[in-house]
Amino acid sequence: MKILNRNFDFENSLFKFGLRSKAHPNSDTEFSNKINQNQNSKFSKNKKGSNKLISIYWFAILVIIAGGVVMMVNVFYSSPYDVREAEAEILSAKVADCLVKGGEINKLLTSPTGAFRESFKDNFMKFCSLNFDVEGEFERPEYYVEVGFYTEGDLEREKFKLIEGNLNWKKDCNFKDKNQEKLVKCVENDFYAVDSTQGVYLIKILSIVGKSDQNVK
Amino acid sequence: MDKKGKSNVFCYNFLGKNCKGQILIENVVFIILNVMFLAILVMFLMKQGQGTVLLESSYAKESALLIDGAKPGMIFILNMEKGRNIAEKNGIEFSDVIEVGSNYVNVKLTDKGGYKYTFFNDVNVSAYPDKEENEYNGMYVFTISKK
Repeated sequence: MKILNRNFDFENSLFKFGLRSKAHPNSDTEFSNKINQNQNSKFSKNKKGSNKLISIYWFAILVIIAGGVVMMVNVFYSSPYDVREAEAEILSAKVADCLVKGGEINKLLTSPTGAFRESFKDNFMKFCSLNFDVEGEFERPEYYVEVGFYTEGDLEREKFKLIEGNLNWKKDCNFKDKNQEKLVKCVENDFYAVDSTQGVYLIKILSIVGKSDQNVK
Repeated sequence: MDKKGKSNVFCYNFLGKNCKGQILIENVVFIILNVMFLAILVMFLMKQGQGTVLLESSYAKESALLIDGAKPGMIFILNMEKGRNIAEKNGIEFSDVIEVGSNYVNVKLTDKGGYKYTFFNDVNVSAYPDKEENEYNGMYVFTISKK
């Protein structure tokens, strides 16, 4: 009898916390029948109260679900669109269009003998109509572009190199970490082209876009 | 026995203690509150998707990327109908929504500063709202010319 009373208390507490509804105790076992008898005598007066108890738990579940939805939506919409990869691809394509036309290296870049003109380096931004200017005095450019010209015989050392933009971004490209994506977006493209003397060059373009403040949370 | 048990569960949770088809005022209130909850949730989700800041940034980035990829002589049209509605609600003239500087686009849908995004293409850009029968149709026209 003592044990039965203890079990009854356990059932009673289950019922109170909404884990067991009033309809459930209809089991076939003798034990639950006894409990049912006890419950009928004890709870018949408090049915209304238990109804309200269930409603409170129901609303608690709704509040938890609403909280979850609000949190997920906020996380989704608070992270900005990351367009840096598209931007870096466009930059790379624009530089490639400027340096090579119809598979042949731009005449402004090489002399008729096939030598690279150093003067092109100084006017690279102007020739390719690029503008990496920033507004603030202490601000640094958000872009970096590097072009390497490699001859067929030596693919390790570039014969000619063009560099523009913020050089600090380059080391962030090789930074091996899961948070590297938050620093910069790097795009590397390469293709072949010929100069005026039909010498073949492999051209590698590395374009980097910073702008992590505007594209990464 | 099982069937009875199931119907008891249903009666208890949804129809009330007696399950005799009586609609209790408590249950009606309960259902109304549930419907209200769902309605508020749906409204919240819809409002979040049309956030001003989100639209400003997406328009600014979209136009900056279009300008980056453009060549002198090109004209492109950007559909900003949602932006026009929000700007009008906030008392901003549609012609003032987009400002193009030497290398930036600033989109302003509220009376705050707006959202600025830079582009690297060194070209002249002019942006103006398109009109149909002297009324803005929600389109913005960008013309690209050589500097």
